[in-house]
Amino acid sequence: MDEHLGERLSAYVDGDLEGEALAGAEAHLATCEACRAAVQDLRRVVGLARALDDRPPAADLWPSIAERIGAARPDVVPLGSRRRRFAFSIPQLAAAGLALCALSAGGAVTAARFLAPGRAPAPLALTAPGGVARPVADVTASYDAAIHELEGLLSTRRGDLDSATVRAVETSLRIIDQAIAQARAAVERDPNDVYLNGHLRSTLDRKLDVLRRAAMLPRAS
Amino acid sequence: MKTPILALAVGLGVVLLAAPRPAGAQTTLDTTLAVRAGARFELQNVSGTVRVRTTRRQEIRIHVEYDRARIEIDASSSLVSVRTVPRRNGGDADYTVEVPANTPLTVNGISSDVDVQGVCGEAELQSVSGDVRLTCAQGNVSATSVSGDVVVADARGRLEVGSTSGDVTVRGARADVSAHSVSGDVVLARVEGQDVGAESVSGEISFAGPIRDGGRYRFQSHSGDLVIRPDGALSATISVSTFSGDLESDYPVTLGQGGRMRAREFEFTVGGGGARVTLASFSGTIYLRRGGAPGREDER
Repeated sequence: MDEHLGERLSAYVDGDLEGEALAGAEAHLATCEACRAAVQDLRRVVGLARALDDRPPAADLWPSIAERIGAARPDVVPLGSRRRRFAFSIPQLAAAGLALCALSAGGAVTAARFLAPGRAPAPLALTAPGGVARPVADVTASYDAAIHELEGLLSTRRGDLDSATVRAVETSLRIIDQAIAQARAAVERDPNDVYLNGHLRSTLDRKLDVLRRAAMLPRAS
Repeated sequence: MKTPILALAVGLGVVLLAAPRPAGAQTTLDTTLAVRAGARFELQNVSGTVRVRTTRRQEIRIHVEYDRARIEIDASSSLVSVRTVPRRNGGDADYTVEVPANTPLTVNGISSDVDVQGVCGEAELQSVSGDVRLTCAQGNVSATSVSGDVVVADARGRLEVGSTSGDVTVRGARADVSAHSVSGDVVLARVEGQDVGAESVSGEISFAGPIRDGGRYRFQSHSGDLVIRPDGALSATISVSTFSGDLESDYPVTLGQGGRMRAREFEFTVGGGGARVTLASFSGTIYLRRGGAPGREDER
């Protein structure tokens, strides 16, 4: 059997292959069950991402907040016209999937946060309809689960990454953890504060983003 | 020493395999491929350097010196894809590549520095532990690293730059910019865009450039300071959020008409308020300076 599709997978799913490359990929898929399964998985993840991207948050909390404080809708960074590429390879699908799981659980977080890294939507308030603050534990529970999973995945990939990179990532994660602890403590003291809640969430987002990026890094050699 | 090339015709494409050499023997591969206008160039390197420059010819020239690795080149008239395949405990490769101006580029490195100058097309550059430097790009542009520094100059279009622990610098851009870092500093100098954002955890964020009517500018950190220097006359609605940080402003902060204030957030207007500026730092100091005005933060 010829070589698996490997890094051509995402290009195939994106529809970027043409001519010989496309024909070759299709010929391989016709005979390779593993690659067919990988394509299905990748399409599922991409489909989920796209669906989430277009879907309003499960509970759009902003209207009640806006009404209460007389403010306009917060800035949301658009994805823009740039076509997103989903450059996942098979071993990295898990990281993408986990990020998407967190995204589903998070509700108010958009796909752009994960799939267009670096875009920084304004943090959304975490106050429930009616203006009642949700407990910090509720707010962060969905993040905690996703973070735990991604940390586990990253742990299994330590051997794939060079030690300097692992150190840099771990140092950054410690810095983010300190920031999360400070933000969490501030929210516990003042659970109704819109800025503090948003800041806690954006810092958790940052940790998820770093973990996701780290879990998806290519092997060192 | 030149490396023998095994050229295998595969349909319309060509696969060139530079044969591996014994460990410790530096090997050179130099090949030139004719491409059509708009052809894309992609390169994946493990360790070493990647330098990309321009040529006036409609061709892509690849010069690589490598050790304990195999170089794979997959070429058609519309795409040239190059990959370093390391052997055990190896994989060093130093590339110098010449491409036609405006060639769309994708370069990925692991512990490889990436340096692209003068190509002026779309670019997606990434390294894990290497530095990324890009001069002249347009369209959709991204330059990221995990622990290396990222420097981009003369970019137009839409720019994403980021590093986890390295510094991120953009000098001279007419682009919408999204920049992020965890512990590295983010410097946006002479950046002209309608949609500019930067985010860090402990790194400092500095911005210098015009604030345009209708534009959106968002800068947020946890403990890093924000140093914002609008160029020219400022007309903006400015939202400031902080927990234990400070605001030092060269502009009058008036919480009058249109301004609103909550416990840790307030909003004020400078001029007609045509732009929207969001400044948020949990514990860092926010400096809002008139363009070019030195402040206390410069003395550190």
